[in-house]
Amino acid sequence: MTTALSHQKAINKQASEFVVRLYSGELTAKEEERIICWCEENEFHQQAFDQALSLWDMSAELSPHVGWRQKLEKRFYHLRYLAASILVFMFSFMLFFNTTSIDTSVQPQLPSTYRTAIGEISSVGLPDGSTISLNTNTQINVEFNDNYRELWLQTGEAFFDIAKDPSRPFLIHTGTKTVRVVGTKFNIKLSQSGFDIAVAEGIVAVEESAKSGSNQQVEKSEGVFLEAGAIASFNNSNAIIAKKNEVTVEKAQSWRTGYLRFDDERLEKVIASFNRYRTKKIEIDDKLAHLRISGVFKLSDGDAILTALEATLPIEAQIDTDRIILLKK
Amino acid sequence: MKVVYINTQSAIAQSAKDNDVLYELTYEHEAALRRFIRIRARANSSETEDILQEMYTKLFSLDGLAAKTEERQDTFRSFLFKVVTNLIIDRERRAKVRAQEEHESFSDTHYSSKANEPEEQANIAEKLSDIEKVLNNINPVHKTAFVLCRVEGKAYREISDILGVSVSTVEKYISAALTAIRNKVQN
Repeated sequence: MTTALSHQKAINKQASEFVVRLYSGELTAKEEERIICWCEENEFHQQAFDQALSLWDMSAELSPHVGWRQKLEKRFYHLRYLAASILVFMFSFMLFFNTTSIDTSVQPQLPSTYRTAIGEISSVGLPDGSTISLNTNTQINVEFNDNYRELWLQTGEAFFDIAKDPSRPFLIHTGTKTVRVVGTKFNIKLSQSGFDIAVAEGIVAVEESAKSGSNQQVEKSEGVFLEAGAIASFNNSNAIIAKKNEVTVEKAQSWRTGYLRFDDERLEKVIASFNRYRTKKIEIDDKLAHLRISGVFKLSDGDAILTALEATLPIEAQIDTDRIILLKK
Repeated sequence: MKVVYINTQSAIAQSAKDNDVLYELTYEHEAALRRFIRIRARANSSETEDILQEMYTKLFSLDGLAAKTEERQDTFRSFLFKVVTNLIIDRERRAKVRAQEEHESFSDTHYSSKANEPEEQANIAEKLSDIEKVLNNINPVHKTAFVLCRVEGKAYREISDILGVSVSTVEKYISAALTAIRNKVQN
Protein backbone atom coordinates (compact mmCIF):
# COMPACT_ATOMS: atom_id res chain seq x y z
CA MET A 1 0.00 0.00 0.00
CA THR A 2 2.73 2.44 0.95
CA THR A 3 4.71 1.56 -2.15
CA ALA A 4 1.61 2.10 -4.28
CA LEU A 5 1.15 5.48 -2.61
CA SER A 6 4.76 6.54 -3.11
CA HIS A 7 4.55 5.33 -6.70
CA GLN A 8 1.51 7.57 -7.22
CA LYS A 9 3.41 10.46 -5.62
CA ALA A 10 6.33 9.93 -7.99
CA ILE A 11 3.93 10.05 -10.92
CA ASN A 12 2.33 13.22 -9.54
CA LYS A 13 5.72 14.82 -9.16
CA GLN A 14 6.70 14.01 -12.73
CA ALA A 15 3.37 15.32 -14.02
CA SER A 16 3.82 18.60 -12.12
CA GLU A 17 7.33 19.04 -13.45
CA PHE A 18 6.09 18.53 -16.99
CA VAL A 19 3.25 21.04 -16.56
CA VAL A 20 5.61 23.66 -15.14
CA ARG A 21 8.08 23.06 -17.99
CA LEU A 22 5.26 23.28 -20.52
CA TYR A 23 4.39 26.75 -19.25
CA SER A 24 8.01 27.92 -19.20
CA GLY A 25 7.79 28.67 -22.92
CA GLU A 26 11.28 27.26 -23.37
CA LEU A 27 10.34 23.66 -24.07
CA THR A 28 12.71 21.89 -26.47
CA ALA A 29 11.77 19.35 -29.14
CA LYS A 30 13.37 16.67 -26.98
CA GLU A 31 11.27 17.60 -23.97
CA GLU A 32 8.10 17.65 -26.04
CA GLU A 33 8.84 14.12 -27.15
CA ARG A 34 9.54 13.05 -23.56
CA ILE A 35 6.25 14.46 -22.29
CA ILE A 36 4.20 12.88 -25.05
CA CYS A 37 5.93 9.51 -24.64
CA TRP A 38 5.43 9.60 -20.89
CA CYS A 39 1.73 10.40 -21.19
CA GLU A 40 1.16 7.70 -23.78
CA GLU A 41 3.03 5.12 -21.72
CA ASN A 42 -0.05 4.32 -19.62
CA GLU A 43 -3.37 5.78 -18.56
CA PHE A 44 -2.16 6.68 -15.06
CA HIS A 45 0.46 8.99 -16.51
CA GLN A 46 -2.06 10.64 -18.82
CA GLN A 47 -4.52 10.99 -15.94
CA ALA A 48 -1.90 12.51 -13.64
CA PHE A 49 -0.87 14.98 -16.35
CA ASP A 50 -4.47 16.02 -17.06
CA GLN A 51 -5.20 16.47 -13.36
CA ALA A 52 -2.06 18.50 -12.81
CA LEU A 53 -3.16 20.70 -15.72
CA SER A 54 -6.66 21.06 -14.32
CA LEU A 55 -5.32 22.07 -10.86
CA TRP A 56 -2.95 24.45 -12.61
CA ASP A 57 -5.86 26.09 -14.45
CA MET A 58 -8.02 26.17 -11.37
CA SER A 59 -5.40 27.81 -9.17
CA ALA A 60 -5.54 30.92 -11.36
CA GLU A 61 -8.90 31.54 -9.68
CA LEU A 62 -7.44 31.68 -6.17
CA SER A 63 -8.34 34.94 -4.52
CA PRO A 64 -5.38 37.29 -4.35
CA HIS A 65 -4.87 37.54 -0.59
CA VAL A 66 -2.77 40.51 0.33
CA GLY A 67 -1.09 38.76 3.21
CA TRP A 68 0.40 36.05 1.04
CA ARG A 69 3.22 38.02 -0.42
CA GLN A 70 3.98 40.52 2.26
CA LYS A 71 5.14 37.99 4.80
CA LEU A 72 7.72 36.56 2.48
CA GLU A 73 8.91 39.87 1.17
CA LYS A 74 9.52 40.89 4.76
CA ARG A 75 11.69 37.82 5.14
CA PHE A 76 13.68 38.85 2.14
CA TYR A 77 14.03 42.37 3.44
CA HIS A 78 15.65 40.91 6.52
CA LEU A 79 18.01 39.00 4.27
CA ARG A 80 18.72 42.18 2.36
CA TYR A 81 19.65 44.00 5.55
CA LEU A 82 21.87 41.11 6.49
CA ALA A 83 23.55 41.12 3.08
CA ALA A 84 23.95 44.89 3.23
CA SER A 85 25.52 44.79 6.66
CA ILE A 86 27.94 42.08 5.55
CA LEU A 87 28.90 44.23 2.56
CA VAL A 88 29.41 47.30 4.74
CA PHE A 89 31.53 45.23 7.05
CA MET A 90 33.63 43.90 4.16
CA PHE A 91 34.10 47.34 2.66
CA SER A 92 35.21 48.87 5.93
CA PHE A 93 37.55 45.92 6.34
CA MET A 94 39.01 46.49 2.89
CA LEU A 95 39.21 50.24 3.43
CA PHE A 96 41.08 49.69 6.63
CA PHE A 97 43.71 47.57 4.95
CA ASN A 98 43.86 49.80 1.88
CA THR A 99 44.44 52.93 3.91
CA THR A 100 47.16 51.26 5.88
CA SER A 101 49.07 50.19 2.79
CA ILE A 102 48.44 53.07 0.36
CA ASP A 103 48.61 56.75 1.18
CA THR A 104 45.31 58.56 1.51
CA SER A 105 45.21 60.39 -1.85
CA VAL A 106 42.83 58.51 -4.13
CA GLN A 107 44.89 56.82 -6.81
CA PRO A 108 43.28 55.78 -10.07
CA GLN A 109 43.05 52.04 -9.74
CA LEU A 110 44.79 49.80 -12.24
CA PRO A 111 42.39 48.41 -14.82
CA SER A 112 41.02 45.07 -13.71
CA THR A 113 40.68 42.39 -16.36
CA TYR A 114 37.83 39.90 -16.63
CA ARG A 115 37.68 37.19 -19.23
CA THR A 116 35.70 34.10 -20.16
CA ALA A 117 36.94 30.96 -21.91
CA ILE A 118 35.20 29.45 -24.93
CA GLY A 119 31.79 28.14 -23.90
CA GLU A 120 31.81 30.03 -20.62
CA ILE A 121 29.25 32.67 -19.67
CA SER A 122 29.93 34.73 -16.61
CA SER A 123 28.57 37.75 -14.75
CA VAL A 124 30.78 40.41 -13.21
CA GLY A 125 29.48 42.73 -10.50
CA LEU A 126 31.32 46.06 -10.50
CA PRO A 127 31.78 48.24 -7.41
CA ASP A 128 29.30 50.89 -8.69
CA GLY A 129 26.51 48.32 -8.79
CA SER A 130 26.66 47.69 -12.54
CA THR A 131 26.56 44.13 -13.79
CA ILE A 132 28.34 42.99 -16.93
CA SER A 133 27.48 39.58 -18.37
CA LEU A 134 30.29 38.21 -20.48
CA ASN A 135 29.46 35.87 -23.31
CA THR A 136 31.83 33.19 -24.55
CA ASN A 137 35.46 34.09 -25.25
CA THR A 138 35.20 37.69 -24.07
CA GLN A 139 37.62 40.02 -22.35
CA ILE A 140 37.02 43.38 -20.69
CA ASN A 141 39.21 45.78 -18.76
CA VAL A 142 37.62 48.09 -16.23
CA GLU A 143 38.94 51.27 -14.71
CA PHE A 144 37.00 53.60 -12.41
CA ASN A 145 38.00 57.06 -11.23
CA ASP A 146 36.19 60.06 -9.76
CA ASN A 147 35.01 61.41 -13.12
CA TYR A 148 34.50 58.39 -15.32
CA ARG A 149 33.74 54.73 -15.27
CA GLU A 150 35.66 53.27 -18.19
CA LEU A 151 35.57 49.85 -19.76
CA TRP A 152 37.38 48.38 -22.74
CA LEU A 153 35.67 45.58 -24.60
CA GLN A 154 38.68 43.79 -26.05
CA THR A 155 37.03 40.76 -27.64
CA GLY A 156 33.68 39.04 -27.71
CA GLU A 157 30.24 40.11 -26.56
CA ALA A 158 28.80 41.50 -23.35
CA PHE A 159 25.48 42.60 -21.92
CA PHE A 160 25.69 45.75 -19.83
CA ASP A 161 23.36 46.59 -16.98
CA ILE A 162 24.77 49.93 -15.93
CA ALA A 163 23.92 51.46 -12.55
CA LYS A 164 22.73 55.07 -12.66
CA ASP A 165 25.34 57.63 -11.70
CA PRO A 166 24.88 60.95 -13.55
CA SER A 167 28.04 62.37 -12.00
CA ARG A 168 30.20 59.62 -13.49
CA PRO A 169 29.29 58.58 -17.05
CA PHE A 170 30.09 55.04 -18.06
CA LEU A 171 32.29 54.87 -21.18
CA ILE A 172 32.73 51.68 -23.17
CA HIS A 173 35.59 51.67 -25.65
CA THR A 174 35.38 49.33 -28.62
CA GLY A 175 38.45 50.40 -30.55
CA THR A 176 37.22 53.06 -32.93
CA LYS A 177 34.03 54.03 -31.12
CA THR A 178 33.08 54.94 -27.60
CA VAL A 179 29.68 54.19 -26.15
CA ARG A 180 28.63 56.65 -23.48
CA VAL A 181 25.84 55.94 -21.02
CA VAL A 182 24.55 57.05 -17.65
CA GLY A 183 22.35 54.13 -16.61
CA THR A 184 20.88 51.63 -19.05
CA LYS A 185 20.86 48.07 -20.34
CA PHE A 186 22.26 46.98 -23.69
CA ASN A 187 24.26 44.36 -25.54
CA ILE A 188 27.46 44.86 -27.54
CA LYS A 189 28.94 42.22 -29.80
CA LEU A 190 32.28 42.85 -31.49
CA SER A 191 32.57 41.68 -35.08
CA GLN A 192 35.40 41.58 -37.63
CA SER A 193 34.68 45.05 -38.95
CA GLY A 194 33.17 46.82 -35.95
CA PHE A 195 30.37 45.98 -33.54
CA ASP A 196 26.63 45.46 -33.14
CA ILE A 197 24.69 47.09 -30.36
CA ALA A 198 21.18 46.28 -29.12
CA VAL A 199 19.60 48.60 -26.58
CA ALA A 200 17.19 47.03 -24.10
CA GLU A 201 16.57 49.99 -21.81
CA GLY A 202 17.43 53.69 -21.64
CA ILE A 203 19.52 55.67 -24.10
CA VAL A 204 23.12 55.23 -25.20
CA ALA A 205 25.35 57.54 -27.23
CA VAL A 206 27.90 56.21 -29.69
CA GLU A 207 30.75 58.58 -30.44
CA GLU A 208 34.07 58.56 -32.25
CA SER A 209 36.78 57.61 -29.84
CA ALA A 210 38.93 60.57 -28.91
CA LYS A 211 42.18 60.06 -30.79
CA SER A 212 45.33 61.10 -29.08
CA GLY A 213 46.36 63.65 -31.68
CA SER A 214 45.88 66.91 -33.46
CA ASN A 215 42.42 67.56 -34.85
CA GLN A 216 40.47 65.81 -32.15
CA GLN A 217 38.44 68.92 -31.32
CA VAL A 218 37.61 69.69 -34.93
CA GLU A 219 36.46 66.22 -35.79
CA LYS A 220 34.48 65.70 -32.65
CA SER A 221 31.11 64.60 -33.96
CA GLU A 222 27.87 64.83 -32.06
CA GLY A 223 27.51 61.10 -31.81
CA VAL A 224 24.56 58.89 -32.52
CA PHE A 225 21.88 58.41 -29.92
CA LEU A 226 20.17 55.05 -29.67
CA GLU A 227 16.99 54.48 -27.73
CA ALA A 228 15.57 51.32 -26.21
CA GLY A 229 14.63 48.85 -28.92
CA ALA A 230 17.31 50.05 -31.32
CA ILE A 231 19.67 47.72 -33.07
CA ALA A 232 22.65 49.23 -34.80
CA SER A 233 25.79 48.06 -36.53
CA PHE A 234 28.91 50.18 -36.55
CA ASN A 235 32.01 49.62 -38.56
CA ASN A 236 35.27 51.44 -38.62
CA SER A 237 34.18 53.81 -41.39
CA ASN A 238 31.28 55.05 -39.31
CA ALA A 239 28.42 53.37 -41.18
CA ILE A 240 25.31 52.86 -39.12
CA ILE A 241 22.30 50.70 -39.70
CA ALA A 242 19.72 51.42 -37.07
CA LYS A 243 16.23 50.11 -36.71
CA LYS A 244 13.75 49.73 -33.93
CA ASN A 245 12.98 46.12 -33.23
CA GLU A 246 12.30 44.82 -29.72
CA VAL A 247 12.15 41.20 -30.82
CA THR A 248 15.67 41.28 -32.17
CA VAL A 249 16.88 43.09 -29.07
CA GLU A 250 15.44 40.30 -26.98
CA LYS A 251 17.07 37.72 -29.24
CA ALA A 252 20.41 39.49 -29.18
CA GLN A 253 20.67 38.87 -25.47
CA SER A 254 19.14 35.38 -25.36
CA TRP A 255 22.57 33.91 -24.62
CA ARG A 256 22.34 35.41 -21.13
CA THR A 257 19.71 32.87 -20.14
CA GLY A 258 21.89 30.00 -21.33
CA TYR A 259 19.67 29.35 -24.35
CA LEU A 260 20.02 30.08 -28.03
CA ARG A 261 16.84 30.63 -29.97
CA PHE A 262 16.44 30.30 -33.73
CA ASP A 263 13.42 30.91 -35.91
CA ASP A 264 13.73 29.55 -39.39
CA GLU A 265 17.42 30.41 -39.49
CA ARG A 266 19.95 29.15 -42.04
CA LEU A 267 21.86 26.16 -40.70
CA GLU A 268 25.13 27.89 -41.56
CA LYS A 269 24.28 30.75 -39.21
CA VAL A 270 23.02 28.44 -36.46
CA ILE A 271 26.24 26.43 -36.50
CA ALA A 272 28.33 29.62 -36.47
CA SER A 273 26.44 30.75 -33.36
CA PHE A 274 27.02 27.42 -31.67
CA ASN A 275 30.71 27.33 -32.55
CA ARG A 276 31.21 30.48 -30.52
CA TYR A 277 30.49 28.35 -27.44
CA ARG A 278 32.40 25.24 -28.44
CA THR A 279 36.02 24.21 -28.35
CA LYS A 280 35.31 21.23 -30.59
CA LYS A 281 33.98 23.09 -33.62
CA ILE A 282 31.25 21.89 -35.92
CA GLU A 283 31.88 22.09 -39.66
CA ILE A 284 29.19 21.76 -42.29
CA ASP A 285 29.13 20.60 -45.85
CA ASP A 286 28.37 23.54 -48.17
CA LYS A 287 25.44 21.61 -49.56
CA LEU A 288 23.75 21.85 -46.15
CA ALA A 289 24.33 25.54 -45.51
CA HIS A 290 20.96 26.60 -46.90
CA LEU A 291 18.83 24.25 -44.76
CA ARG A 292 16.66 26.01 -42.21
CA ILE A 293 15.89 25.22 -38.59
CA SER A 294 13.86 26.58 -35.66
CA GLY A 295 14.21 25.77 -32.00
CA VAL A 296 15.49 26.65 -28.57
CA PHE A 297 18.74 25.03 -27.55
CA LYS A 298 20.34 24.92 -24.16
CA LEU A 299 23.99 25.91 -24.43
CA SER A 300 25.08 23.58 -21.65
CA ASP A 301 23.58 20.59 -23.43
CA GLY A 302 26.70 20.25 -25.58
CA ASP A 303 26.03 17.75 -28.31
CA ALA A 304 22.23 17.80 -27.93
CA ILE A 305 22.16 20.09 -30.97
CA LEU A 306 23.61 17.25 -33.05
CA THR A 307 20.87 14.86 -31.98
CA ALA A 308 18.26 17.50 -32.77
CA LEU A 309 19.76 18.20 -36.19
CA GLU A 310 20.03 14.53 -37.08
CA ALA A 311 16.43 14.01 -36.04
CA THR A 312 14.97 16.90 -38.02
CA LEU A 313 17.21 17.32 -41.06
CA PRO A 314 18.73 14.92 -43.59
CA ILE A 315 22.05 15.16 -41.82
CA GLU A 316 24.63 12.83 -40.39
CA ALA A 317 27.20 13.90 -37.80
CA GLN A 318 30.65 12.47 -38.15
CA ILE A 319 32.51 12.88 -34.88
CA ASP A 320 36.29 13.11 -35.17
CA THR A 321 38.73 13.68 -32.36
CA ASP A 322 39.13 17.39 -32.93
CA ARG A 323 36.03 18.37 -34.87
CA ILE A 324 32.52 17.36 -35.87
CA ILE A 325 31.52 17.31 -39.51
CA LEU A 326 27.90 17.47 -40.65
CA LEU A 327 27.32 15.57 -43.88
CA LYS A 328 24.36 15.07 -46.13
CA LYS A 329 22.67 11.75 -45.46
CA MET B 1 -21.49 44.48 -31.73
CA LYS B 2 -21.41 47.76 -33.60
CA VAL B 3 -18.39 49.98 -33.33
CA VAL B 4 -18.65 53.61 -34.37
CA TYR B 5 -15.46 55.44 -35.20
CA ILE B 6 -15.46 59.21 -35.18
CA ASN B 7 -12.74 59.29 -37.76
CA THR B 8 -13.23 55.98 -39.47
CA GLN B 9 -10.43 56.28 -41.98
CA SER B 10 -7.61 56.75 -39.52
CA ALA B 11 -9.05 54.34 -36.97
CA ILE B 12 -9.06 51.53 -39.48
CA ALA B 13 -5.59 52.44 -40.69
CA GLN B 14 -4.41 52.47 -37.10
CA SER B 15 -5.92 49.09 -36.27
CA ALA B 16 -4.48 47.55 -39.45
CA LYS B 17 -1.09 48.89 -38.48
CA ASP B 18 -1.55 47.56 -34.94
CA ASN B 19 -2.39 44.15 -36.34
CA ASP B 20 0.79 44.16 -38.41
CA VAL B 21 2.83 45.06 -35.37
CA LEU B 22 1.07 42.39 -33.30
CA TYR B 23 1.60 39.80 -35.96
CA GLU B 24 5.28 40.60 -36.14
CA LEU B 25 5.63 40.43 -32.36
CA THR B 26 3.74 37.18 -32.15
CA TYR B 27 5.38 35.47 -35.09
CA GLU B 28 8.59 34.96 -33.16
CA HIS B 29 6.68 32.85 -30.61
CA GLU B 30 4.81 30.69 -33.11
CA ALA B 31 7.14 27.70 -32.88
CA ALA B 32 6.85 27.69 -29.08
CA LEU B 33 3.08 28.18 -29.28
CA ARG B 34 2.65 25.26 -31.69
CA ARG B 35 4.62 23.02 -29.35
CA PHE B 36 2.55 24.22 -26.42
CA ILE B 37 -0.75 23.58 -28.22
CA ARG B 38 0.34 20.11 -29.37
CA ILE B 39 0.97 19.04 -25.79
CA ARG B 40 -1.70 21.01 -23.98
CA ALA B 41 -4.59 20.20 -26.32
CA ARG B 42 -3.15 16.92 -27.64
CA ALA B 43 -3.88 18.47 -31.00
CA ASN B 44 -2.81 17.24 -34.42
CA SER B 45 -1.26 19.70 -36.83
CA SER B 46 -4.50 20.96 -38.41
CA GLU B 47 -6.14 21.46 -34.99
CA THR B 48 -3.00 23.26 -33.88
CA GLU B 49 -3.25 25.66 -36.82
CA ASP B 50 -6.96 26.22 -36.03
CA ILE B 51 -6.17 27.17 -32.46
CA LEU B 52 -3.31 29.41 -33.58
CA GLN B 53 -5.70 31.14 -36.00
CA GLU B 54 -8.26 31.62 -33.23
CA MET B 55 -5.52 33.13 -31.11
CA TYR B 56 -4.71 35.72 -33.77
CA THR B 57 -8.40 36.61 -34.09
CA LYS B 58 -8.54 37.03 -30.32
CA LEU B 59 -5.37 39.15 -30.23
CA PHE B 60 -6.59 41.43 -33.00
CA SER B 61 -9.82 41.98 -31.09
CA LEU B 62 -8.00 43.30 -28.02
CA ASP B 63 -7.74 47.07 -28.15
CA GLY B 64 -4.37 48.73 -27.81
CA LEU B 65 -2.59 45.42 -27.32
CA ALA B 66 0.16 46.26 -29.79
CA ALA B 67 1.30 49.28 -27.79
CA LYS B 68 1.15 47.40 -24.50
CA THR B 69 3.06 44.49 -25.96
CA GLU B 70 5.89 46.59 -27.23
CA GLU B 71 6.53 47.68 -23.67
CA ARG B 72 6.33 44.19 -22.25
CA GLN B 73 8.21 41.98 -24.71
CA ASP B 74 9.79 39.97 -21.92
CA THR B 75 6.50 38.57 -20.64
CA PHE B 76 4.61 38.48 -23.92
CA ARG B 77 5.09 34.76 -24.43
CA SER B 78 3.50 33.85 -21.11
CA PHE B 79 0.63 36.16 -21.98
CA LEU B 80 0.16 34.31 -25.28
CA PHE B 81 0.18 31.00 -23.41
CA LYS B 82 -2.61 32.30 -21.19
CA VAL B 83 -4.71 33.36 -24.17
CA VAL B 84 -4.18 29.98 -25.83
CA THR B 85 -4.96 28.08 -22.61
CA ASN B 86 -8.31 29.86 -22.36
CA LEU B 87 -9.10 29.08 -25.99
CA ILE B 88 -8.28 25.41 -25.43
CA ILE B 89 -10.43 25.23 -22.30
CA ASP B 90 -13.31 26.84 -24.21
CA ARG B 91 -12.92 24.34 -27.04
CA GLU B 92 -12.93 21.43 -24.63
CA ARG B 93 -16.05 22.78 -22.96
CA ARG B 94 -17.80 23.17 -26.30
CA ALA B 95 -16.79 19.66 -27.32
CA LYS B 96 -18.26 18.35 -24.08
CA VAL B 97 -21.54 20.16 -24.65
CA ARG B 98 -21.73 18.78 -28.19
CA ALA B 99 -21.15 15.27 -26.87
CA GLN B 100 -23.95 15.77 -24.37
CA GLU B 101 -26.29 17.06 -27.02
CA GLU B 102 -25.73 13.94 -29.06
CA HIS B 103 -26.62 11.77 -26.09
CA GLU B 104 -29.58 13.72 -24.75
CA SER B 105 -31.21 14.83 -27.94
CA PHE B 106 -34.62 15.06 -26.24
CA SER B 107 -33.83 17.02 -23.13
CA ASP B 108 -33.21 20.74 -23.14
CA THR B 109 -29.43 20.85 -22.88
CA HIS B 110 -29.33 24.48 -21.96
CA TYR B 111 -31.54 23.82 -19.03
CA SER B 112 -29.55 20.80 -17.88
CA SER B 113 -26.19 22.54 -18.16
CA LYS B 114 -27.56 25.46 -16.17
CA ALA B 115 -28.84 23.10 -13.52
CA ASN B 116 -25.34 21.73 -13.13
CA GLU B 117 -23.76 25.08 -12.70
CA PRO B 118 -24.36 25.88 -9.01
CA GLU B 119 -23.21 22.41 -8.08
CA GLU B 120 -20.06 22.79 -10.12
CA GLN B 121 -19.46 26.25 -8.69
CA ALA B 122 -19.66 24.89 -5.15
CA ASN B 123 -17.34 22.09 -6.12
CA ILE B 124 -14.76 24.53 -7.47
CA ALA B 125 -15.03 26.79 -4.44
CA GLU B 126 -14.39 23.82 -2.19
CA LYS B 127 -11.34 22.77 -4.16
CA LEU B 128 -9.96 26.28 -4.15
CA SER B 129 -10.18 26.41 -0.37
CA ASP B 130 -8.44 23.01 -0.26
CA ILE B 131 -5.67 24.35 -2.49
CA GLU B 132 -5.31 27.33 -0.22
CA LYS B 133 -4.99 25.09 2.82
CA VAL B 134 -2.24 23.09 1.15
CA LEU B 135 -0.39 26.26 0.17
CA ASN B 136 -0.51 27.51 3.77
CA ASN B 137 1.27 24.39 4.95
CA ILE B 138 4.12 24.12 2.50
CA ASN B 139 7.46 25.88 2.32
CA PRO B 140 6.53 29.58 2.11
CA VAL B 141 9.01 30.15 -0.71
CA HIS B 142 7.34 27.43 -2.79
CA LYS B 143 4.00 29.01 -2.03
CA THR B 144 5.14 32.51 -3.00
CA ALA B 145 6.58 31.30 -6.29
CA PHE B 146 3.34 29.47 -7.04
CA VAL B 147 1.11 32.41 -6.10
CA LEU B 148 3.19 34.89 -8.10
CA CYS B 149 2.91 32.60 -11.09
CA ARG B 150 -0.70 31.45 -10.94
CA VAL B 151 -2.50 34.27 -9.11
CA GLU B 152 -0.47 37.31 -10.13
CA GLY B 153 0.31 35.89 -13.55
CA LYS B 154 4.01 36.67 -13.45
CA ALA B 155 6.45 35.02 -15.85
CA TYR B 156 9.13 32.71 -14.40
CA ARG B 157 11.80 35.28 -15.18
CA GLU B 158 9.97 37.98 -13.23
CA ILE B 159 9.58 35.63 -10.28
CA SER B 160 13.26 34.84 -10.47
CA ASP B 161 13.99 38.56 -10.20
CA ILE B 162 11.63 39.00 -7.25
CA LEU B 163 12.93 36.03 -5.28
CA GLY B 164 16.55 36.43 -6.36
CA VAL B 165 16.94 32.83 -7.51
CA SER B 166 17.54 31.29 -10.93
CA VAL B 167 14.71 30.52 -13.32
CA SER B 168 15.30 26.78 -12.99
CA THR B 169 14.98 27.11 -9.20
CA VAL B 170 11.71 28.99 -9.71
CA GLU B 171 10.48 26.08 -11.81
CA LYS B 172 11.42 23.66 -9.01
CA TYR B 173 9.54 25.75 -6.42
CA ILE B 174 6.38 26.01 -8.51
CA SER B 175 6.51 22.36 -9.39
CA ALA B 176 6.95 21.38 -5.72
CA ALA B 177 3.87 23.44 -4.82
CA LEU B 178 1.82 21.89 -7.62
CA THR B 179 2.88 18.38 -6.53
CA ALA B 180 1.87 19.13 -2.94
CA ILE B 181 -1.54 20.34 -4.15
CA ARG B 182 -2.01 17.30 -6.36
CA ASN B 183 -1.10 14.93 -3.51
CA LYS B 184 -3.73 16.44 -1.20
CA VAL B 185 -6.49 17.66 -3.47
CA GLN B 186 -8.27 14.93 -5.40
CA ASN B 187 -9.98 15.69 -8.64
